[in-house]
Amino acid sequence: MEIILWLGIVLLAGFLITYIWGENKTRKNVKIIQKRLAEEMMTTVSAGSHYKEIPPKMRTVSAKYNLFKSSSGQPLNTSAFDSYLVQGNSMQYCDIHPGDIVFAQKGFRLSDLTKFPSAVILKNLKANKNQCQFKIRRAWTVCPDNLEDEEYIKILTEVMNSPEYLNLKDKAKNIYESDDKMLEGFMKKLEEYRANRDTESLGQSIVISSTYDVDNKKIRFSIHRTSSLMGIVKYVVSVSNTQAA
Amino acid sequence: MQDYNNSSEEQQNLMFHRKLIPILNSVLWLAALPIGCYSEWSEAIDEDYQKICLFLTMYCTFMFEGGLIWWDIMAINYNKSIRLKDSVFVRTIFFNMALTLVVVVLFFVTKELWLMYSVMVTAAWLKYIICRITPKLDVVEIPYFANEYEVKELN
Repeated sequence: MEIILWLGIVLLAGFLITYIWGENKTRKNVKIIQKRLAEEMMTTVSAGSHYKEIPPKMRTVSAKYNLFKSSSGQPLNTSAFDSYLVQGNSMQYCDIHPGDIVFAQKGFRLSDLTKFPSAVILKNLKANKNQCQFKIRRAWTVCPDNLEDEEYIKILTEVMNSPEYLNLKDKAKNIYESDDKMLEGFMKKLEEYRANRDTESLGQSIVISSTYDVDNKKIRFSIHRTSSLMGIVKYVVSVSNTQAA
Repeated sequence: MQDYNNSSEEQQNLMFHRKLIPILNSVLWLAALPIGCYSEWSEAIDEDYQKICLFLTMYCTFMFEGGLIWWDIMAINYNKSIRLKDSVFVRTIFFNMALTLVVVVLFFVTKELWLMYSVMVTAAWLKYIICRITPKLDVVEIPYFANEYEVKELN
């Protein structure tokens, strides 16, 4: 019966030695591990036209291992959202700034886009794989792409008379030129769109959005195919300490 | 928004159990060795009592295994910013169930206390080493929430 005693002593001593060694090793590493887990490489979204200078992913705080709460204290279930790290300054009049994280509900369908204006995520079809793959814009309306010029002007006039647009004009009064300049800019974009449009896709719907051109300090409308829509931004959070990959 | 059930009071209760369970288990385990040895050595005690002692020994060694997991959790992470990584936790439960089955079969086939005892402790020991040298497998290395941020709802 001595075997059980010796076995017990040997195993217990072995375990204790391993335990003490393990604890010391873990204590040194645990802070590093926690810090690593609290950050992640997040998909970037370009607010503006400088997508070529933005990598597709950048390091920021983890959407999974940090708690995101509303002002009333309700935690956000981040697993139900796609999260994007904003790079660029063109959404500043929408209170979205560089380094912010925006959350867009997963499983987007065009029928979800019913409320305007909405900050939307669009796939950037021009970007190569080393550049930012998405862009963020403020969508004002969705309409077919085969309307006459007068119909577009009518739609945009309605948009420009909406309380939300008037609010934008008020916020951006230092740089906002005029409604006529906005329409003029839109017609140029429409010409470009029509020139590049595939005739087979005529009649598809488009998103008309606004963006602030940081370089020229102008707000302009732009046109995007609805097929490039990836989601509607529901929440935005300001964080800091963003690092490139 | 999701209604999480992670109030600090509940987390405090959880931490209390994490501390209490390993202490109780460790006490039981420490008692197991002399009980087991005495029941084997003593010719004076009757067979029924010996069986009870063997059962207690077996029970305590099982508890030791469970206690180890809880002790791990307690020893490193006594602040409330830590949570279990669910998949690892489930794996641990299955590991323990399989180990229990092996030990019970061994005991009833061989009736050898020392065999059961050594399998239990060695398995627990091995698992501990594996967890420690591969931190990603560790049941406790995930921070619950590192920081809090306030989100703003659009629209």
